[in-house]
Amino acid sequence: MSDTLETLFATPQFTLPTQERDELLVEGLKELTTQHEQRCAEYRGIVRALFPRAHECARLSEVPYLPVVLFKKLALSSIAPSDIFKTLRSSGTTGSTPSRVILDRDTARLQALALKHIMTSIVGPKRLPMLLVDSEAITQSTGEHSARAAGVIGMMNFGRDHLFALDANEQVKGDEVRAWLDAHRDEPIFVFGFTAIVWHRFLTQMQSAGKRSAPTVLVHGGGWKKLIQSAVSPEQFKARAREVLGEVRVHDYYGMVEQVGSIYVECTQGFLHTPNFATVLVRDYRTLRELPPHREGIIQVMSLLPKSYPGHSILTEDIGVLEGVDNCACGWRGSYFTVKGRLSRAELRGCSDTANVG
Amino acid sequence: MKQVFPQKRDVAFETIREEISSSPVTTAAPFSDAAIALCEAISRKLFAIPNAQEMSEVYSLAFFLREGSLRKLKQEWLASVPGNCTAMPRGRVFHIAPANVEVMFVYSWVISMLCGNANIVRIPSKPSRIIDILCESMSEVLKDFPEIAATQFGVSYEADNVITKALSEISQVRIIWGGDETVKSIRSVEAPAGLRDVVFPNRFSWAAVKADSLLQMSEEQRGELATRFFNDSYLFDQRACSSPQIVVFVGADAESANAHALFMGDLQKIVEARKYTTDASHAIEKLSAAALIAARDFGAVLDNRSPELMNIAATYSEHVRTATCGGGFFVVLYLPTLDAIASMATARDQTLSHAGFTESELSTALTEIRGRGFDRIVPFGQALQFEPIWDGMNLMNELTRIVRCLW
Repeated sequence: MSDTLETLFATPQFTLPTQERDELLVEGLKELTTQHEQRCAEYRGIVRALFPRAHECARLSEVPYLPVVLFKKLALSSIAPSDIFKTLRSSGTTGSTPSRVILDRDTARLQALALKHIMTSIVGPKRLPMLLVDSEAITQSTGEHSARAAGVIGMMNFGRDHLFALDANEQVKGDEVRAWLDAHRDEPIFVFGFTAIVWHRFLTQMQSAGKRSAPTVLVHGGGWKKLIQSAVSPEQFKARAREVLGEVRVHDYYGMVEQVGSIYVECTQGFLHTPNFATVLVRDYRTLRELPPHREGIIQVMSLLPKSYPGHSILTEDIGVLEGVDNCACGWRGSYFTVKGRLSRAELRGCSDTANVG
Repeated sequence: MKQVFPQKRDVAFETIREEISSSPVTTAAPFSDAAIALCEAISRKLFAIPNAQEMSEVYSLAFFLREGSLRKLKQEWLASVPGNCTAMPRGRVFHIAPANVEVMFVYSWVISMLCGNANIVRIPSKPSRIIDILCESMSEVLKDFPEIAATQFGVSYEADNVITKALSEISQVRIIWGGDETVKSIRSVEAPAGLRDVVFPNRFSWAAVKADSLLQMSEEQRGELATRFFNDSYLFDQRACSSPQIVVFVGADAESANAHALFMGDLQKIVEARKYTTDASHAIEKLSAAALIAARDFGAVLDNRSPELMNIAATYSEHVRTATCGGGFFVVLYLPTLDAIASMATARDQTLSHAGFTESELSTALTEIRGRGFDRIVPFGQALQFEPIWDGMNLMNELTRIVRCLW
């Protein structure tokens, strides 16, 4: 592990002032750009043509970035085939090509370590009894659920006395869940699941969890896309979580398969915060220039973790706003932002269109 | 469902199906005086629309519909009918119009109507001001041609295989626009064995410039050339089948590089003057397209003029085709001679728009290509101009029967 990453891991997350942190990030990202250029021919071609001044890069906004769609179209790797430890695939929607993310042991280890540093600052240093709002069956499946399974398995490390809340048909196991909650009613518990599953399969299916005398930490992520369709706001989500679980601290998080381990966690004020070793910036839709805070644009994510594939700087298709730097009322340092939605494919005019089908 | 011309109303599918199937399947022999008069009347109506010139595609349509141009078309076409033969209508034609090149449904309908066929035209349900204007103009004119009007049905309905199947059953020909997905989807609907399909799958188009011709042009001439290219490319966000995606500069590499730089500079001026703007996702799509090409072609040179005009000089491969994305993104190739394009041509290639070549250079290239690609070779500025000879077919031949009569 590089010294920079070691320092950033060792410092408690969400405590570093942005300027100090960004200087370390720029150096680390620049180093990664050079390494990936040496090891990944496709990446070298892209940087050469699209970011000819990459080597003069002095600021985060000057770090070359890859549009996220490239991970669907190319198998980008900076390691020898014999060093591939595993290939992550995004779950994706039916019919769409999944992203492929190629990991060696070292990068996989860094991802797990990074997640550990973030989660301990959320859940605390001690493992809590953990309720997983998912089905155990999913952890045994491969293929289409692999990203979801990887997410669940990755999080299991941060709890103990696990209970999977859903059965193989993804229905809540009401009696078992109630009994489990009852058994742990006097100690803090940790609840984890994907946003839409937590809402549709758990929060809306459960009555009160009974009398609990200790607080709950609920961590959920994986997108609001499905919930926006059912018009559920974060406020409603939290209110319902309180009805079901009593005293509960809810943390949404933002992350993607292309940068596993680098997750951005929601603070008490409802903003997503950058951990020490990763950050975001927001770019203008049209010019792709960096935008100042409070302007809506496209989110770029940067992280020091991706060593086995050139994914240290990615232009997502998510829309977001940088809300501020170092001054969030929650007390955490660093830049913080919100995600507003997903960029829709341009409705371009042309001969080829599917609006007509059928 | 909705009927959109010759009358505008909501109507039960059963009712309109009954009306269609009980109406005659043909009106008259091809290019009847009445049919031509109808077109001329629509043409006048379209020219009279305030600001017609601003809707350049409507203006081109009005121009096409003039009596003079149709009489010429009639004469040329009838002359091509073999001896002892007469062209006769095929019967009822069911048109599935594309959603986004709005005027296309009128061309499709007009040619079939001129051939003497009854028609069902499925018009996209997506609201469109241009479609409304066109349907209104056509409906008003059709009032004066009741006999023809009684056999013409413009309809609009959401995707529905049951309706599509029922309308296919009462038709003799289907014209399916809208690209691969639409063609596949409509063809998957069960249809009578004798039904004839005329299909328009996805196509791909190119432009070619002779470098030394461009280098000899005055600044004004180059501006005109860039304007014509702009119209070919940007009118439908570079997403029409005929919009050029690859631009070839022909000559010695140094000449091509000079011509390329001048041409893109001229084009950027036009893009700014016309205030073309991109959609929110365009910038990412173009960046992705350029990255996909650069990832495989280490000699690729990106020229990012503005958010509205990006081009990348590359070496030809299959990948550059699939990477293209429209919205002002061009792959540039330098070729020593125009006929070198022959080794790259595929059946997908539709239009080659050209500037600066001699007739013999074009015909040599055409001979070299030997039908492996390109159905239209037209000067800059005419790439999007619809003609009854389209996608390698003479649509009048597709929409009529040749009746042989011996005695």
